[in-house]
Amino acid sequence: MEVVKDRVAIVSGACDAVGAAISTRLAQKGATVIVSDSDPAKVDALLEEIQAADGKALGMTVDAADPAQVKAFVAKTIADLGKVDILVNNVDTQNGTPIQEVSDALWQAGLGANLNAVFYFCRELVPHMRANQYGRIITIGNLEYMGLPGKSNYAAVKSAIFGLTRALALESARDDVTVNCVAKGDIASADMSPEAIEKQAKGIPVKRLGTPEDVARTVGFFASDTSKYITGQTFFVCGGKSAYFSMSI
Amino acid sequence: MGIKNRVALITGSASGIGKQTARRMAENGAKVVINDIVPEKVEETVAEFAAAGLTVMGQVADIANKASVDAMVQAVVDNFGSLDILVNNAGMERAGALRKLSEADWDITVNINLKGAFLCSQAAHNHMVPNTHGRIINIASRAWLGGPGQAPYSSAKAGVVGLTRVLALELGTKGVTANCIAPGLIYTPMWDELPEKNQKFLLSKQPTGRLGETDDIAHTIMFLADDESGFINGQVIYVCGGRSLFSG
Ligand SMILES: NC(=O)c1ccc[n+]([C@@H]2O[C@H](COP(=O)([O-])OP(=O)(O)OC[C@H]3O[C@@H](n4cnc5c(N)ncnc54)[C@H](O)[C@@H]3O)[C@@H](O)[C@H]2O)c1
Repeated sequence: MEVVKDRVAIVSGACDAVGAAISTRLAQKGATVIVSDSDPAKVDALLEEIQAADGKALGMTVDAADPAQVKAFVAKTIADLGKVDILVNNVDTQNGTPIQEVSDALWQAGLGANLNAVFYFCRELVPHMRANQYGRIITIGNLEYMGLPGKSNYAAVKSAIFGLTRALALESARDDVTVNCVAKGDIASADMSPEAIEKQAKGIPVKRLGTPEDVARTVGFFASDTSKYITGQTFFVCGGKSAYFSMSI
Repeated sequence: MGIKNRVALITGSASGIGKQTARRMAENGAKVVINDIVPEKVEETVAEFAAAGLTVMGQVADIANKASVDAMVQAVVDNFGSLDILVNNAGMERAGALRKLSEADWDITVNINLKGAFLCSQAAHNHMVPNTHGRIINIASRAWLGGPGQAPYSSAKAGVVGLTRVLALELGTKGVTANCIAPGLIYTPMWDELPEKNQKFLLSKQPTGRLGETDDIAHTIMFLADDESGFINGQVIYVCGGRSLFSG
């Protein structure tokens, strides 16, 4: 079971189903969680939920694709709480699109949300964590980074997480700062029909879709004090579907 | 929830990583089977854990021998009623340059590290599949990526990674997951026997600049063994302080 008690955790893009599950889980295990997202109403709703369950949480509206906002947010958090121990980069907009339909604007939006946001948060927090001699950074990736037809724009930005994770892990290894990626597979969402779920489950070795909680407890594992010797890794939560892909390296 | 009341067989658990994992799992409520090929070590470990109030039983068996493995697994099920978690941990290494390695070096390394994991998984899955629940956790090594002087060991551990993926695909549909841990340098008493020159060299290649601890592996095993880890299947997790990012 993860050890995150009294740690300060920032979760970016905290208000989708996976982000909410991660924030709730970390708070349940005793971390102080700062949930950040671009939609103030959703931030408030999630905060209320966590606080109602006696979790410690604060909220902040941040456009993660804007470096000035990220910088100000991180600076304020450190000023108010003294430190940040855990960063979960969960900003994730699914926009896999056949290449002929990827407009410049769509490409830039994917870069901004899925990659730039991760970079901006890491740029602010890696030096802070290294100076503190403690940190756990977890970026949420996606199995689709391995490359699926019609999703080249999404695969491209999610692939970048792979290299970013490895480079930052090596940069920070001596300072008890670990950097890992949790790549999710097919996660059931509330708007899916039972037929759609059943159909998708057939393509997964364990014959079921994942839940946001499956991702959240894995993030908890990597965020734990006890996972200090795990860094630079990309780890799939996918029911074994990754075994159908080959890295060919 | 967790691993409470689950029956866990950990091979090679009278020493090192296996022993610490057995302790942690038993402390967390699992019923643990201590296996080793050395009878006195099994006896000692069982006595030590029983004295601490932990639920354990001992099984002396050679995991590279099918009859011995089958008898062990049957004894576990007879005693505890089921077998829920198998940790294929027993292992050893014969290292040396290609020209120095004997056929016997190859055979013993492959038999214990790879054939042993196969035989134990085969025997265990017979009891897991009918329960539609099981967790198989194979201990490979970061060294499967290949290093000079490690022909038998790297090959055997690479085999363990392949075996994990096969088990995940074959058994995943039946509620049994299979995953693999690839440890890097982990401190065990053997470390102290290395010449200082070798210790320095090995540490110089560690991104973290230090060794891991047996608890680092034990915690990872418990995460994968957990009832709630059912959506994690077919994975290799490196617990190596980032050392897997380069090989050799
Ligand atoms: N310690 C490390 O740094 C490290 C690194 C990478 C991988 N590993 C792997 O982790 C596992 C445990 O390593 P450890 O360092 O704790 O080793 P260890 O030598 O302390 O323990 C292994 C145990 O397995 C037992 N064993 C050997 N052959 C057996 C057989 N045929 N049947 C039953 N038991 C047998 C041994 O008697 C011993 O007690 C091994 O698979 C090893 O390859 C260890």
